[in-house]
Amino acid sequence: MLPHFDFSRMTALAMGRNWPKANPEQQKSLTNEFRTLLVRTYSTALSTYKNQVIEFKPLRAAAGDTEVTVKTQVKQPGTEPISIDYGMEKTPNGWKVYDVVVGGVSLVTNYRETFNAEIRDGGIDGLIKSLASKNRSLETQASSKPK
Amino acid sequence: MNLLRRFLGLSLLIALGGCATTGGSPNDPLERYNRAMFGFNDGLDKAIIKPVATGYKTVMPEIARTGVTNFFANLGDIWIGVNNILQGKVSAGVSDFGRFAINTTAGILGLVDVASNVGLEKHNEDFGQTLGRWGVGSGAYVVLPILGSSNVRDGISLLAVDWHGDPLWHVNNIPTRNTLVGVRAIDNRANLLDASHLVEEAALDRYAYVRDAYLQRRRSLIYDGAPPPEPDPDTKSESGASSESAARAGPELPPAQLTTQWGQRIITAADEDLTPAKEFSEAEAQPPAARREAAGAAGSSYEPAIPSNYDALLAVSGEARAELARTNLRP
Repeated sequence: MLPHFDFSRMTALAMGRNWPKANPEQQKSLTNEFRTLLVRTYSTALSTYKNQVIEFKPLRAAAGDTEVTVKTQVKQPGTEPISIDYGMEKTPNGWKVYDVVVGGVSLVTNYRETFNAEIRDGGIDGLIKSLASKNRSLETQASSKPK
Repeated sequence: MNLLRRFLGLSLLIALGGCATTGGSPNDPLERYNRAMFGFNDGLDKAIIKPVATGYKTVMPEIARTGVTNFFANLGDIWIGVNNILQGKVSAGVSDFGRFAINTTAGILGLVDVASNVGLEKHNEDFGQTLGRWGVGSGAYVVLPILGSSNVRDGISLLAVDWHGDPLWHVNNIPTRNTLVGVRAIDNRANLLDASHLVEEAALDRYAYVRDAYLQRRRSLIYDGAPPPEPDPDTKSESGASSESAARAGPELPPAQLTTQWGQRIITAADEDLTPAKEFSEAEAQPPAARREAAGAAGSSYEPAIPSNYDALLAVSGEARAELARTNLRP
């Protein structure tokens, strides 16, 4: 599943106008940390979904489109179906996901405010440090959990 | 004269930007109160609600919990139907009443959600969404005690109106009513245990994460999954970024107007539906130049292969303003 996600694009979008302000080394660190965070947290989330029916909505795209949104709906008991949309872009390496929108909440946009606040407080390096320490604490949590 | 105006506009931007660093997020004017209330709710949750919900989830088998969820969801369908009708979505409202009828009879008092299998989808509506649909702005983000994320419009709707449509509050026997309300609350919390665990893991700043997710979600709910791009700031809007540019449009008219026109122009170019597009036809000559200049000003260290709606995303989040202030465009 992972090769289909374009993490550097997701990081760039989440950073917004702060992305060009980071040097290439910072951009690389940011992408790595963000990717680790997303993979760890969302694979946990996806593992809790069992046996839900996922419905793919008809794809609205023209033949030459380089960007599409794949809309799916996950049916769940007791509440309305949850919509999960994947914003995908055609790159030389194939179609890659650059945003996941769950129930109207865009992953990238959600992190944008947080990133902005962290950069306001501690600059880009402060953000990298926060992400790294978050990933470290998640890792120790995961390794200390009884299997 | 133009130079002075531009300088004033730029210095005002910087001053407001400076305010932003101390005041926090621009779409959260009550942040200090909200963070405190969030902390209180969080403490209450950790101490009482979450343990009870976890115990409930452990003790009750999943099929029983689904039954409980369905039972309460069924009772809520009437009010959802009423709100759909109020919003002018008559077929959706009728479908909701149909859901209630089918589930109460064939679904054994709502314990089994038969209607979804028949194709009558469950909707999510409340009076706050109805008001939002009618064009009432959401007001500031507010964290309510115990109830959590809300905003001025939705909080008032919830406390003043929604409970009228909630069958549980019309139960005459007080102890029964309280038990039912409590069970429903615990059942909801149990269903959200996985989601709250996710927020704990995924968020750098849990308060901000919950707030931003709530704001996006609310907007999506009001438009039933298809929110338009940020509405024209000249009309009453629900998004923080747009209302912020409207608020700034007074003292520093030239850059803000340009931004609005440029932002809207780019969104139209990205092929999204936007009805006020015809208002900006006279601004067509300027925006492409603005976009090129802004892209140039944004720095060349970033690789040029960006998604075609990147500018739209930036415009939508209101971040293009600072770049434009540096260009030489006349209003």
